Amino acid sequence: MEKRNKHAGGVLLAVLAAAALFSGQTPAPVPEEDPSAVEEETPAPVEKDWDMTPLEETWFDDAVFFGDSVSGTLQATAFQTGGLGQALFFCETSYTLREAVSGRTSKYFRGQLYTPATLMPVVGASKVFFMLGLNDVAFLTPEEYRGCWSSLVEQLRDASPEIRIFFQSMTPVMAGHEYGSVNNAVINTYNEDLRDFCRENGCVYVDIATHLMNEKGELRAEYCRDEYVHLVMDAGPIWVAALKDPANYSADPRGETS
Amino acid sequence: MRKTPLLLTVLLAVLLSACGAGKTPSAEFHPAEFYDRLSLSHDLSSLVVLDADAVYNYLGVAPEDYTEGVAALQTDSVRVDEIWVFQAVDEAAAERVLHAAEFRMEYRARETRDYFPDQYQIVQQGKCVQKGNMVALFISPESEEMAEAFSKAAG
Repeated sequence: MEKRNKHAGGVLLAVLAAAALFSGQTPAPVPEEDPSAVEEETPAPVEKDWDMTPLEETWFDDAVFFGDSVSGTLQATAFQTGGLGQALFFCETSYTLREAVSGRTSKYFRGQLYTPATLMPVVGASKVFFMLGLNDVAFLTPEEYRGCWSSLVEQLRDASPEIRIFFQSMTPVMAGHEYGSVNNAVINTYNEDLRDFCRENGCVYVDIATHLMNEKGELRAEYCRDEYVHLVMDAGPIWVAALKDPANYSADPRGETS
Repeated sequence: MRKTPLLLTVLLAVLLSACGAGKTPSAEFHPAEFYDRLSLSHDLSSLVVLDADAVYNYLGVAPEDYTEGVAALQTDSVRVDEIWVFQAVDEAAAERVLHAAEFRMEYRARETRDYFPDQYQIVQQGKCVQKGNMVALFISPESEEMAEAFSKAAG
């Protein structure tokens, strides 16, 4: 409850900061959060007792990836050098979690438009990966983005009951280039919430962020395209390698649908 | 043969071939060759050429609609550059390819309008061009120039 009250004001500031960001102005500094005001429960560590052999490229043949402009680098890497089998990619600049659950048919496949959920049976996917939220955190409270995840999972499972759902951690921001709510503290909280959500809802959390960050949890400068959040192509193979490593999954990626 | 008529004949032949030099018949236009020529005068190094499956899956251009084609997307996630060049099988197919190109242009505009305003401007200046059965899309800071080169080459 404290988190929500604290974030209510933070959302207003974040909205103002986001407006300033898109208008090209320098956003006003956001007051530092008092860590002592929030009690966080540390989730029990997951025992990783599954097969740690790297995932074969063909394992991704029936996978679909959804993401925003950050995932554009993964998509471009797959197009250019492969590595993820016949996986399909629908990564769109400015794509949001809100749009993914809105029912808006914006995903274009072979001349037709679909929602993420309605697309899955069309392409015969058995696995779906998401990395979304960066374009949402300035506008949604934690309760609201959890609500979006719940809606998304429900829609996907209604359309494809056997679908396995993987949520990738949101990647960090480069040091010194955080704007309003698009900052690494918020991203870390989002990722922790996402990990909890996955555990509670039979989804799998995939840690990508750790592989792209420095010891302070910031996006490594050498992977950053624009002194903000976007990635250079050199980060693509790092991401692909992380996807292929079962150790980065919170549950056995080869496991049966839960 | 008298020298004067011979000279006139030679001169006429030279003039006719000179008139035709800048005009490549569309039957001789090859999208891949055109793309390669374009890459000599424009920096296309950050674009990746899609295979036929990806062209169909993401751009909606069915393989049975063209005899030859090149579609290249930008790999830099903060840029929108994109080039298509297709030789459609017939006029009806060319219309379908053009429709897909125009849809793509609208899609990229919507995608970038609020997020990457500078890239949105580039999309706004993009060109979809049809020359007979040849269809091209150019989203680039040099769209105008590329479209002109295409129009010239496609006849």
